[in-house]
Order: sequence, then structure tokens, then C-alpha cells
Amino acid sequence: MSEILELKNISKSYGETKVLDNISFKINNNEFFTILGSSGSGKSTIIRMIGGFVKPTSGQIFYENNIINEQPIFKRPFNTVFQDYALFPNMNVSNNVGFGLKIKNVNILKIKEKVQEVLQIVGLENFSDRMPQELSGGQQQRVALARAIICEPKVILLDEPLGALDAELRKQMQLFLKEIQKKIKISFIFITHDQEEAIFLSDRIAVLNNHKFEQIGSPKDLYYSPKTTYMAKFFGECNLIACKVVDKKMDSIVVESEFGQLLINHSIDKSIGDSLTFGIRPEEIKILDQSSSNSIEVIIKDVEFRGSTSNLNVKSQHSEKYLKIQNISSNISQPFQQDDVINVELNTGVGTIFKDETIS
Amino acid sequence: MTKLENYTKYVMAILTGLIVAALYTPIFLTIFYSFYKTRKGKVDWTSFSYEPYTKLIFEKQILESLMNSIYVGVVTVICSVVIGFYFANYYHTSKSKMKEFLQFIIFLPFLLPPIITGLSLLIFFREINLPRSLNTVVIGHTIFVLAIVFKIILNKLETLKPSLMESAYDLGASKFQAFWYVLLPNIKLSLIIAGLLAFTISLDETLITLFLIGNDTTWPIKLWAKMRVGFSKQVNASVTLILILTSFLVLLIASIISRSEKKITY
Amino acid sequence: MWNLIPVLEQYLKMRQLVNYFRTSIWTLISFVLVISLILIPLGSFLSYSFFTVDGTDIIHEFSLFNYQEFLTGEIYIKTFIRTILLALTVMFICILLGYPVAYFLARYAGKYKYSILLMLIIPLFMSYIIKIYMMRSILGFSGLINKVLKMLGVIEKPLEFFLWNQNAVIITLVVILLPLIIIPTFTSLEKIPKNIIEASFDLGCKPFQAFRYVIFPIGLPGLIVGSIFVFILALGDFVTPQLVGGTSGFTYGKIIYSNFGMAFNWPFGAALASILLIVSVIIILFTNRLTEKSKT
Repeated sequence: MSEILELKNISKSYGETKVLDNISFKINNNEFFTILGSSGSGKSTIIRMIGGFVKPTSGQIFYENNIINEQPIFKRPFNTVFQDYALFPNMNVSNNVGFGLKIKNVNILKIKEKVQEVLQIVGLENFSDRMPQELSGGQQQRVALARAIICEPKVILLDEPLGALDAELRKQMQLFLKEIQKKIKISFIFITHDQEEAIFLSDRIAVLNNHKFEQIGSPKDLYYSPKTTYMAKFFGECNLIACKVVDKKMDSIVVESEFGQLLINHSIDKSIGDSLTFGIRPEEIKILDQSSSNSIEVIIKDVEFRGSTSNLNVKSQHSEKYLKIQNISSNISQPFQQDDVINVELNTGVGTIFKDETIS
Repeated sequence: MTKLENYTKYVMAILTGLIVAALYTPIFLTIFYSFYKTRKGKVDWTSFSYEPYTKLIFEKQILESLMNSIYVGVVTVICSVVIGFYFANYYHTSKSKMKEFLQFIIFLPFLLPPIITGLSLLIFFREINLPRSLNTVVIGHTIFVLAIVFKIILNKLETLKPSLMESAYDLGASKFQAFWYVLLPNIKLSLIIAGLLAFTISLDETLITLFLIGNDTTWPIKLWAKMRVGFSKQVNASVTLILILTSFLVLLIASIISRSEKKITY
Repeated sequence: MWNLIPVLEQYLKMRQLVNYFRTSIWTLISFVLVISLILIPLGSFLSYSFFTVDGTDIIHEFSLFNYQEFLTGEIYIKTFIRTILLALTVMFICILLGYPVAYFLARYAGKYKYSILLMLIIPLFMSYIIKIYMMRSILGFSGLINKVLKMLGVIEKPLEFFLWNQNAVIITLVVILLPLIIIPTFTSLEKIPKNIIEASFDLGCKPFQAFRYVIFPIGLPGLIVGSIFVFILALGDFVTPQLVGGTSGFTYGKIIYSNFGMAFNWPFGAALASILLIVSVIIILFTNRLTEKSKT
């Protein structure tokens, strides 16, 4: 895999307001890269910088190892799919799609041929004479995509393209986008605020928080090895437990927490007396029939029935600390009542240890 | 932004400045001449005086024409806003196909050259033996501004949700109560804007008025008549006063519009 | 004011019996009003064009005499064509001057755009007669323009080029009508979403191409509406040519008006105006089609 695009130490502020704070990342060839962040986190600004609509306050953008900070929009080999599509209302579908080629003075017959080809890819070959206003949201979306890919850009920038669609259509378009990206082999930089969407679509995800990247990695990386407690809570749920190391063995440590002593199967550079935060996913907590050497006793606070599975909220016996346990087969959870005491075991091998952070 | 684009931008900015200047030159000159005298085409800088403004009180003809214009303007506003509201509401609520036809007719006097509106009413009034007077001028002005008034009110009505009036009826309001307590407060501003605009246009309307005025004169007609002999300083003074009035009205309309837009966007 | 409401309500309750009747009556009245004040006058003026005049009496008998007169009297057709050309010239100058201004306001003037637009709107409502009068003094032999040109050393003697001729009519009409083209053009240019312009750059447009293929076509309906307004008003104006045009002030509108004044030949004036009406209606309908088309 070779890199095609790199952003290095990019910052952007509008007057006093900081939008992006020293971010860096690289995009590989043929990669589906997603920037994930809540609204107003500055994720659109990143894409607009790559596209050339906004200039960074500091830092460099490299394309194939050349700095392109000052390159005008129309010279950049990237195309954008805009949030509300930005189709030209004065042109029909085929003119919209063929526009980029027309500007480059490509032969008319060649344009026609290419437009048909691209429309076929997006499944709109029968709509070439329609005006954009006569199309549904999903169709407009496809036209916008066709218009972007026809120029064979090196990177396609997608600025929350699915934001305006309803849930059903959104699912369809996700599948569609993923297929297209595999078919045409162009890097996609995709922007969304939807975590599930990001996990489903992406090869790699960059999570933007507080004007900085919290973590960049594959969806699995982000889920199973979050680097910060923010990340741990960002995808799905995570129980965060404040602990103090009380004993250290060869490849594990024993910690004291509000739920009692836990054996954590991690070799980690901590000495006795250090405090740390241990994060564990709710589905990695098992309910035992009877207590074992590594189990803890908890009190059930409530049972959330979810059909075939249930979730449990349990409380430590000694304090008001809660744990969440997910995806318990409802057969098992059926007899449970509030205030029952049960034994649970934490699958500490897949948990994560965070440097001492205050748990929010 | 490329250099060329920057360059065109500056050229356009200069052009804009020049055009603003060109549009205001006649206006400023009028104001200027109401204060200063000229002799053989040269300005006498020592001749500044307010006198024309105080003397204006004795210019019975000018004052009378001004009063006539204000009368015509006020009555035009009342007629056009009432009729305009009625049509806008009809157009908005009716499902009949006649409404498109109705709209087309309302727009005709506004779209056609004023000379046609003027002379068709002139011929009509002659045929029905209605003598020309300020009131015939009012009729002419009303049908001329009706299209604008209609459109402003209709635009406002179309922004209202249908549930607004329905909920009023649902809560037991009579037709009149629903109109008075619910509809009217919501479209009040558009009525005011439409009325002010109608007044401003009526105040200055000349081409239709020339056909419909009888022995009375409105202010623009008076100016038109005086133009043959040249304007006295008192005329310039009256023009200045009217200019202040119209710019005040236009600014008022603009500020109402911008304030109501802010309200909508919260 | 609020005390009035209960009284009014009582009054209206009494009338609730005739409610249904009332609504249909109002509809009827409104239609009658519009038809009798707009359609019937237009109709009576059209029918006048088929009457003739005898001294001061109007003979209410159908005749094509007036139209024959128009077609045979060379001067009328000539004047009509000359006036159309005049109106077209005014329209083109207004486009040439107004479009860049509207474009500048919509795209580059930023937060000042509405203030500047307002400055351009205000003169529109400022006395029409006064503007003509002042233009006369500006354009005149010892007027402002000649003075400035002399001061700048462009000319030695004042020029008579500016007043009492076609140029004067054109300049004055442009000054009066220019805001009419700027306003709708600005509105339609300003409505173009920013990201559509960005999309054109994104697809490889240089600034001029973005203008040529995207901004101009999308903003065109506003320009057309403004142009038509200017054209129709310039075509029908009879006061401006008369007051600044001297012998060239003899435009079509002036001929129509004089038939209602001194010449006192209303039927003939009506016939001339009917031709103006037909041309105007054709243009309005054509424009309507054109802008509707670009809307869908």
C-alpha cells in the first residue's frame, strides 16, 4: 500500500475559534477512509481543505509528496460529493455527470460514452435526460457520485453524503458506496457522524474530538483497543473501573477495585500502588452459577429485556458503582430479580488498561 | 482566487460605486439647489439659506398638490391592502382553477406599460360617465399596486402552516376570531410592508395619473407642470422634503423586513 | 381597539345565518371588481381602437380605419420601430451596467450587500419627474457633465451632444430604470447555493468557466425578468422623451399620449396603444415561458 495524500500538522482557526488543532494523517491508495466526529467538530473543514475550498492556517497538505496548499481547486485531482449534492439545476443528469469532462475539453462523443458507462455503474442509465429536481434524494446522490467519479480523480471526498437520506435509503446507499469503492478503486475520504456507518464502510476510521484526532485505525482496532477512555465509550458501551495495583505477577497484575479484587491478564509496566483505569466491554462479563477464584459478587439493579437477549445493570456490594452486562441470553436472565446477588467473571484478557485518567 | 478574478472584482466594485453616484447625483443636486443659488451656471456659495423651506408655507399650490398626493396615497393603501389581502387569502385557500386566471388579471396592470393602464381606465371612465377626479386616480393607483400588495401578502400566507388556522378553529374560534387573533397577528408585518410600499409608489406615480387626473393636481403632476417654467427654490425644497419622506419609508420597509427575517430564523 | 371586538362579534353572529351566502357573495364581488376595473377597461380600450372620431364626437361603429392609418402612415411604423430600438438600447445598457453590479453585490460584497442594494433601491422610489428634471440640468449645455469634462480637459467647448436628442433620452431612462434590472438579477444570483459554485470549481472549472456554465445560466431568469421590465417601461414611457429628447422625443408613447391630449383622437390613440399592448403581452408570455422552463 502506498500513500497518496498526507496532511501534516494541520491547524485551522477562524479568528479566535480553533476548528482544527495540529492534525496529521495519511491516506493510502484505494482506501475507504472515514473521518468520524460530531457536528461542529471540524470534520467538514478537513475535507474542504483537501478539496481546496479552505486554506489551512498552518501545516502542509501533500499529494504524492508535493505540497498542494496553494494549488487552486480546479487543478486538484480530487472531486467532492457535497452534502446536499450540489447538482447543477440548469443541466440534466447526463450534462451534470459529463460536466467535468466538458470543462477539460474532452471530445463530445467520448463524453457521451463515458457518461453512459458511469451512469451504468451507479444504476441510473435510464435517467440521463431527467433534471436533478425530478429525482429522489437517493438518485440525486448517485448522480453526484457519478459526477465525481467520471473525472477519475485520485481521491473522492464525500461530505456527509448520506446525511439527508432516511434510514432505509441510507442503508442501501452504504452498501452501494462500499461496492462502488471496491469496483472503481479510488480512495474515498468519507465524513459522517454515524458510528455504525463508519464501522460498516471503512477500512480505517479517524475519530475527531475536540479539534484533534482521538485515534486512527481500523474499525476493529478502534473497538478492541481504544487508546483513550473517550474512544472506549465512543463505540458501543464500556465499563470503566478505577483500580489500584496490589500485586504483580509474571504476565498479570492483581488490582483492587470497588468491586473487589480482579486479576488482569496483562503484562503492564506498573508497580504496586499505581492507580489505573480498566475498561471492559459489557459483553465480556460472564455470569457464573457459583463463585470462582476470579469472580466478583454484584447486586442486580435492573434487567433490560431486549427480546432474545437482555442487559443487566449491576451494582457493587460496597458502593454505588455500576457495571453494565450485555447480551445475556434471555433464557438465563429470566429468573433474575432486582436485588438478587449474582457472581460474575470479567474476561480481563480482552479488557483495556488506560493510564490513570479521571473517569467521566 | 486568481489574479484575474481579483482584478474583475475591483473593476466591478468601482462600477458599483460609480452607479450609486450616478443614481444619487440628480437627487443631491436637487437638495443642493434648495439651499444655494446659482447665477449664470455658477454656484453662489454665500447664498446658503433655509428660506425656501419657510416660504413653502405660502406656496398654496404646492401644498395643495402635496395634500392631494397624500390623500391619494392613503386611500390607495387602504383599498389595495384590503383587496390585496382578500385576493391573496382567496388564492391561498381556494382550490378553484379560476384563481390562476385571477392572478394573471391582477398582474396585468403591473406588467403592462403604465400608459396602457392609464388610457384604458380613462376610456372606461368616459364610457360610464365617471368624471375624472382624485378618486379616479385612486382607482388607477390601486389596480397598479395591487399586484405587489397581493404578492407580498400571498408570500407571507404561504409560509404559514395550514395547521395554524385549523388549530384555531379546533379550539373553537369563530371565523372572525380566527382571523383577528390568529391570522392577522401573523401576517401583520406583511400588511404593513405592502401598505408602505403601496404608499411610496402611489406618491410618485406619474404616468397613469396623467391620464386620470381631472382639474386637481397631485404632487408629481404639479412638478411636471412647473417644469416648463423651471423650478423655483420652493419646488426644490418640497422635493427635498418628499425625498426625505420616501427614503424614510423605504428604510422603514427594509428594517421591518430584515427584523422579521431574523425572527423567523431564531 | 380591543373593546370593539365583542361588539363586532355580536354583529357577526347575527350574520352567521347568511354565512354561506356571504362567502359566495364576496367571491362574486371580488371577481366583479377585478373584471370591471381591469378587464373591462382593457376591453373598452381595445374596442375603442375600432371606433372613429368625427370632430369631438366618437363614432361607436366598427371600423379598421385606425389600423389602416397605422399601416399606411409611414411615420407611425417608423416611430414604433425607432422606439423599440430605443427601448432595446436602454435595456442593453442597463444589462451591461446592472449585471456586473448585481454580480458584485451577490458574490463579493459580503455583509454589505443588502445595504448597497438598499442604496440602489431607494432612488427607484424617488420622484420620477425630479430625476428627469435634474438629468436635464446635468446633461445640459452648462450642465454638470459638460463642466466636469471641461475641467478634466477632455473638451474645450461644452458639447450639445447630451441634451435634446436620443442620447439624452437613453441616458435618462438608464438612470431611472437601472435599479429595476439590478434587483431581480441580484436576487437570482444570490439564491445560487454556494456549494453549487464550489462544485463547478471542484469539477475543474476556472473562474470564468464557472461563470459561463453555472452561475450565468442559473442566474439568467432574474436578468430576463429585469430586462423585460426595463424594456416595457422604456417602450411605453412618454414623459421622459418629451422632457429631455427635444425633437427626438417623438416616441411611440408620445404619439399615443398626444392623441389623448391636443390631437384628441382617442380611437386612433387606442389603436396605437393596442399594438403596444399586443407586443407587450407577447413579450410577457414569452418571458414567462422562458423563466418557467428554466425553473423546472
